[in-house]
Amino acid sequence: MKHEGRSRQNLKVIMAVSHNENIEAALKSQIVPDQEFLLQGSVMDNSLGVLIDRLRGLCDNSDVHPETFHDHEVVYILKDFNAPATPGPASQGVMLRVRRAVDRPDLPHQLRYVGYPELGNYPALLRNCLDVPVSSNVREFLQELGAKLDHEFMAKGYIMKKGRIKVTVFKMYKMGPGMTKENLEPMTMSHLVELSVLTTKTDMSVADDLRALADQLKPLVQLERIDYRRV
Amino acid sequence: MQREERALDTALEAIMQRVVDIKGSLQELLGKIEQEGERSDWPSYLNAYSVISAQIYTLMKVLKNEKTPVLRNYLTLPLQLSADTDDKLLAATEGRVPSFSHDFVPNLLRTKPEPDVEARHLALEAKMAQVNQDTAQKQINIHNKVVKHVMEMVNTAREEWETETSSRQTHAQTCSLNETQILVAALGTGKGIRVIQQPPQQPQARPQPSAAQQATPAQRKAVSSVKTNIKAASGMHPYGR
Repeated sequence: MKHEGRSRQNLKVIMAVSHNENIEAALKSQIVPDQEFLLQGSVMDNSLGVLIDRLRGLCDNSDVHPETFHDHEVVYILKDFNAPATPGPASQGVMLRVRRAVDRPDLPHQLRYVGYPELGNYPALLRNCLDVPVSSNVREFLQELGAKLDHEFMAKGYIMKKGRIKVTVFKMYKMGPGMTKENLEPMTMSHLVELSVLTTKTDMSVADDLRALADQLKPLVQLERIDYRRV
Repeated sequence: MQREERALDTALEAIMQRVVDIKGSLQELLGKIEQEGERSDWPSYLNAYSVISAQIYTLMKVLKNEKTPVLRNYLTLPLQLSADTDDKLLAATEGRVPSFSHDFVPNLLRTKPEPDVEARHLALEAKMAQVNQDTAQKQINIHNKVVKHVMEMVNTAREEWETETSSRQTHAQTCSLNETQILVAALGTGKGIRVIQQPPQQPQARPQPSAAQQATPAQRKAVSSVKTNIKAASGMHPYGR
């Protein structure tokens, strides 16, 4: 999902990478925006219009129609595939997500890493999150590294922002052979709704803004912190 | 009639209980002020105040309760008026009211309205005497008509509002927790969309499981390494389960 604000933050991270000392200092003082607060929910397709109207009223730039996106996401797993399966996160390997904007081929691909939800009583789901713009041959690169394709899907929907909060409403489509880009099979009869905000380890106050926005969308959408491992 | 009396009794009992509670808290606070004064910290004072305000709130709730009879409709009728000290009264009020007389309960024993109320009442009576009977009747009719009209408007507005809110309650479901969970799981772990499209290594592993299935049990034991292959392959296809 392309997003100017986030890309800019990614850029910052990359620029920091080019100066090793800088990133070390940034990590030490915990000012790298690599933490993501997330609230998730869903809205049934027949109520999508109502939700979009309400979000337009709540979010920035309510005078223009919300930006749409059409992304293709491919998820790779990187791990030692010959190791015996043991319970626990170690044997599950690392999931690396490659996102590509189908509707905007000029934009760079995004390599995305999302960590496991942090334990603790946070107002929203908190996890490590890294997004890096990459060149289009990233998939070959990952395969050369030994990563295996795990699954892929299409996401089509709307993106809005309110201050630092990113709001996405999108539908997930299954992919497979025989399914052309025009003929996709939707996962469910609902759109997934996500409120997220990137922050640093030292700035947790923004989660309350996230909660406030989530409360304003009730009862149309129930946005909660959902740990996907427990679903 | 008897039922009304009983309701009044229970209501009064409840009110008295609340009043006793408030009195206890107030005494506690007074004792605290006297004994500790400024030595005590302000949060503890604020706590005491919030306790009292909560008690007053519950008292008001009892008074406004539907089951509580409207107390202002009841008359207090003094049966005995004496300036002498009444021991029973003194005991009942903890030594604060020695006798039931005008000095202590002026409001309860008043026989005339307050002076300014009386003055306003007289002014209204004088105004009434000036207007002639027919005009007054006409004005009353017009007033009643207007009030009736306003009442009708309020009632229709309320009906509309009530139907609107009730229809809003029966509004169709806009979100489904089940679908949320399906989508979140799919996004997080790929559950339900882990594909059909084979990773390049898979096709080679495929014939092996089928060969193992056809083999005799003895053979199956021998090729235990194949078995782990089956596991790995089936692990990639959780939708099959």
